[in-house]
Amino acid sequence: MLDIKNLHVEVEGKKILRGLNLTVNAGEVHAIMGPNGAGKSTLAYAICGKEGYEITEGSVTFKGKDFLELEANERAGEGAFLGFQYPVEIPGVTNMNFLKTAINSIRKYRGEDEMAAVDFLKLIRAKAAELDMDPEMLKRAVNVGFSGGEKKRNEMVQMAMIDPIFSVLDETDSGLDIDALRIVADGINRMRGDDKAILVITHYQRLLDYVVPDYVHVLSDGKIVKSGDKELAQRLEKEGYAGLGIDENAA
Amino acid sequence: MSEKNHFSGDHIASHFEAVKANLPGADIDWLQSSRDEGMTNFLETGIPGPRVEEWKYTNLGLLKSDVFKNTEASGDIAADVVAAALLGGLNGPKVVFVDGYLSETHTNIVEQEGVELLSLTEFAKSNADQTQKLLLHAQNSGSLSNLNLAMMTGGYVLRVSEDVKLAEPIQIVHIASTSVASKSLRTLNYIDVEEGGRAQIIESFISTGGGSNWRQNNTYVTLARSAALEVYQYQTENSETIHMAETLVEVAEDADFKHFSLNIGGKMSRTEIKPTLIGENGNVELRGAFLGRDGVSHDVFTHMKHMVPECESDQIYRGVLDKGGKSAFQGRVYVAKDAQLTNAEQSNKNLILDRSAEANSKPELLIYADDVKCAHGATVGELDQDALFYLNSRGLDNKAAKALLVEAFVSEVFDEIDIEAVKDKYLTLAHSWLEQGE
Amino acid sequence: MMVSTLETRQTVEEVGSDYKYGFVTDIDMVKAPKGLNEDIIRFISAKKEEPEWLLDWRLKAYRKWLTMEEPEWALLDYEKPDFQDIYYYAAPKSADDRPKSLDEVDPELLRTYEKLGISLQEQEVLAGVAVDVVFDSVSVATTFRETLKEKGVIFCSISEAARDYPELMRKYLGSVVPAADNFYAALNSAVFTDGTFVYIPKGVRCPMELSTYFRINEANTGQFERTLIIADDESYVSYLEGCTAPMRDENQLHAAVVEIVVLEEAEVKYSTVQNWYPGDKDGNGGIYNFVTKRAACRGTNSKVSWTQVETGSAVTWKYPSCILQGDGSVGEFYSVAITNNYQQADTGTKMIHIGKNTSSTIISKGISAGKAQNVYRGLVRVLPNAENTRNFTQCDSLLIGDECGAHTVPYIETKNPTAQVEHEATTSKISEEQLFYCLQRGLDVEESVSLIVNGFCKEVMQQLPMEFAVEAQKLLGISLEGSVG
Repeated sequence: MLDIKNLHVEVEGKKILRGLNLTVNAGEVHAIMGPNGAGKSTLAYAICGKEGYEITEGSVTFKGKDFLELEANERAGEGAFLGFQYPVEIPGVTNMNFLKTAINSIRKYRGEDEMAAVDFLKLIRAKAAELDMDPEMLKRAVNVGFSGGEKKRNEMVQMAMIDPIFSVLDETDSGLDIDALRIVADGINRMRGDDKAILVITHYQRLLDYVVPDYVHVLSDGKIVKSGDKELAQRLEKEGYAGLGIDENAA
Repeated sequence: MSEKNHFSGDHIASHFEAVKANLPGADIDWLQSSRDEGMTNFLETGIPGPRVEEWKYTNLGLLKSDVFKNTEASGDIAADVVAAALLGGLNGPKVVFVDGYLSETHTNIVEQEGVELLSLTEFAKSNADQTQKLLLHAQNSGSLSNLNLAMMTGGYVLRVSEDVKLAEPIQIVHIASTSVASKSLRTLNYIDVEEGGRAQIIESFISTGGGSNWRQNNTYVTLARSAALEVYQYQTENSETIHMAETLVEVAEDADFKHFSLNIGGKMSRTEIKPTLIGENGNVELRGAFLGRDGVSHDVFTHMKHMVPECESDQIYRGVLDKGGKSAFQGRVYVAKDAQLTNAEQSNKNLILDRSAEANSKPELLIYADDVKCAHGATVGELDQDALFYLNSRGLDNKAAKALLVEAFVSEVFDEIDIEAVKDKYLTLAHSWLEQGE
Repeated sequence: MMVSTLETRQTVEEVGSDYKYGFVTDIDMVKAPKGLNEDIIRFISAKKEEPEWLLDWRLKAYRKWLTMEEPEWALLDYEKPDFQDIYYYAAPKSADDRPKSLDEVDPELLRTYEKLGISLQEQEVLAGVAVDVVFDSVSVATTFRETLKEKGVIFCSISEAARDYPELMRKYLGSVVPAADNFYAALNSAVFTDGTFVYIPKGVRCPMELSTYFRINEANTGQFERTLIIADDESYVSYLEGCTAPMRDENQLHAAVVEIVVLEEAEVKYSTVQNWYPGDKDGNGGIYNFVTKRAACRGTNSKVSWTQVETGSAVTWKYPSCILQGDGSVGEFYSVAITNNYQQADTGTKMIHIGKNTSSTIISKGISAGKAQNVYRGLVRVLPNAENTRNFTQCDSLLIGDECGAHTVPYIETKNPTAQVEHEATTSKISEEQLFYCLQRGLDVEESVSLIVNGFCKEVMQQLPMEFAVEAQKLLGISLEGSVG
């Protein structure tokens, strides 16, 4: 589904990723772990096409298409979703309006008709209920005045509504208490499926107790330095990055 | 943009011609030509009339024509008057101006290596080029700056060399004496702080008696890279005085400029501060309070120019207007096209204590760069009634409660001052002004 | 789309057939010659069959105007119009052979409405709006007049009012904006050719929103409407004004005057969506919009509320104001001003607090893109007897791109100790993070900008009547096309 080859990324002239390789197949859940500054968020932004993340070498192919040729919204249209570490506030724009616009933009990109207002309402109420979100939150401006946990939950509702093929979750677990963590994990697990894939980026192992990955990769200094299964995450938890011979402050 | 002459140009020009030869530095030819040029520039537009936007709240009709006279040095002044005007507990240099002229008797320069403190004319003699460059600032400024240049009777120059930190704050005292009925007191100063240098200046303006004086004190400042300057001004002149103080500052990379002012006295005061940020990471903080009653009007005019990226500026001004008091705050923040990542804030709050008082505020933002954070706020209002009631309920009578709240409102502006003697002075002045109210 | 076009055509046809009850036009004299002098003013006045006093009033204004200078204090840079190179009177071209069938309706007019996405019919049916269409100088038609008549509401062209309601006109014309108030108002007073007159009698709540669409369709035609709205004691009216103009290469002058008189306990809500032609991407052409709008709250608890969405015009000079004279009167100003490419806007409001317990609210949202300059200029003045005055002002500016400017120039003048005046302003840009967040969720750049800008303007947009809100939201997006990326 996703094929990353020899990816080099610079931000403001600073080399962050230095030849990263990663293949994610349909039905798989991959976890990327690594110390602060290893380039985890950069990987997420580079996949989803954030401006300022300059690809100097390598390729990203998504379902056979050259992803790097596409604009950020086109990548979303192809089915990529990024769960943000710090979801941004958009004053004056209600969650409801935002999601409706997003879903219809994606449908337009795919050449589909707009979703009927009634269907949209039904769907969003159902998804909000599933993820235990107060329906009142849908009327509030996107992330404005939301607590950290509420923002992350909001990301999960958006993900559920958009129903992506490939989800990248950037430190979605950071700053969450255990209840919120369960809800987020539950949201991610709902996205699992034979024709879907998930890339979980996290600093800690604890999310992986709830979202069990098929593969775990350790990212350090802009490269994947170790890959394994969920055991690797547990080893990291016990022995630390240093235990694996990785300098925690490498970057 | 028509400017009105309240005085006949001929009258001023002939007076200037008459006294010119007696003004300090008359023996320096180029200085005399600079004065001439200043006079010519001034006469072109004259005194700004009320239709000139920058002066719309300032009534220069208050100027009386006789304030142009009397630019001769008057008699000296008693030592105890000077001593009373100085802040205690500070051992730094003291520069005293009496009626606009530098007083050799009372001035006390404490020598420090890398610090040069001398009179403007003395400086001019050995630094012709630099002085001429400096005087260009005055020539390129408004008509009144040109007038000040033409008629100045003195001034000081402070130069701080690279990485030198002034050991103690410098005190500069401007005294208007009682010896003459009405005077025009004009000083022009220059402060130059080289890379990494640091200085603090405390500058006060007082009168020892009556007399409808016209005071102008214009200071031109250049701060080199990583230089820092703090200026503390306060003014308690007699109720006939027209007080004008202008400060032009160039702030280079990583340099830091702080300006505090308290205006209490005079018939009318106008404080103009115009910092230009010309190096990245420059920082300017302006703080001030003005207290007016009984026909006194105070104007503060700031013009903050952000010319380069990543600088910060912050302005806080508070006004208290009691019976018959009037004020105008005109603050402009200009952010040039290239000055990205500017962070500029401005706040002006005013309290009106009586129905015959008036407060005007015009905080302006002119922004040509997109990646900036600029905000301003202005309020005019009465005291917080809830707070007043709270104090009443704790046993304070209305007068005491009001005084407490007003004092708190003013003193907030001076909270950050490190020099205790200055802070105390500000607070004492504000306190006694409030005591004088009904 | 076809259906709505058909509806529009039908409406315009109906409107057209009503026209015979409107004005009698000299078939040979469609235009007065170019230029301005007393004869032209006499000609206009004669055309309008005006009473003597009105002609005198015009001439007085004209003589005063001759002595005045075009104001220069605004932060605007444009070539001054040549006032002798303008037609001051032009009836619609199609006026002498009025449309009798569908094919005779000026297709340009239909197309203009079509572009806006609203048909007259739709407006009438959906919202019960009465439409008074003005193009160029003459009021073409007025609908719903009968319904309004039952309630005693007068809604007619100002020329008609001069003939049919001379007492009201004499009493109120120029009472809020005096003939020589300022340069453009004086010009308008001398040469105004048409506009709208509204009178809501005592105790009447106007049963529908009144609306006028202005349109300039003839090259080199100055547009000088004059609107006079009088809300008598305890009455209410909501008035909508919209403007569209087809593309022109030459700058066209628009100098309108709007006067509103609000009496005891009455309320007037005046909403404007202004999308005159802004000029092309290089700053050629576009409308000069020099407008004087002022409301006088004369009675106890009078209320006036201005809402404006300004997206058009090359140059805008406009300060809808409130004179809060009556005790307890309320003034509101909600504004969105968008400038893109080479557009310039210097706009804001004046709140003059005279009466006791008066209050005012100012919410201004300025958006600047391209090479545009956008200025908020506002005055809050509290006079000595205005006890317990309250004012709150919030001005927010949004910059898109690094070649535009956003400026805030508020004036606060207070002479009363019990007044509370608060002004806040911020300037920011659309953050890269907001933009990427929207893109990542699938919105394209223009949708994203439109969404973020609409969010930024929400407090103002929600003041608009429903029928206008949708159109205005679209306009925000359209106006900013091409501003990012």
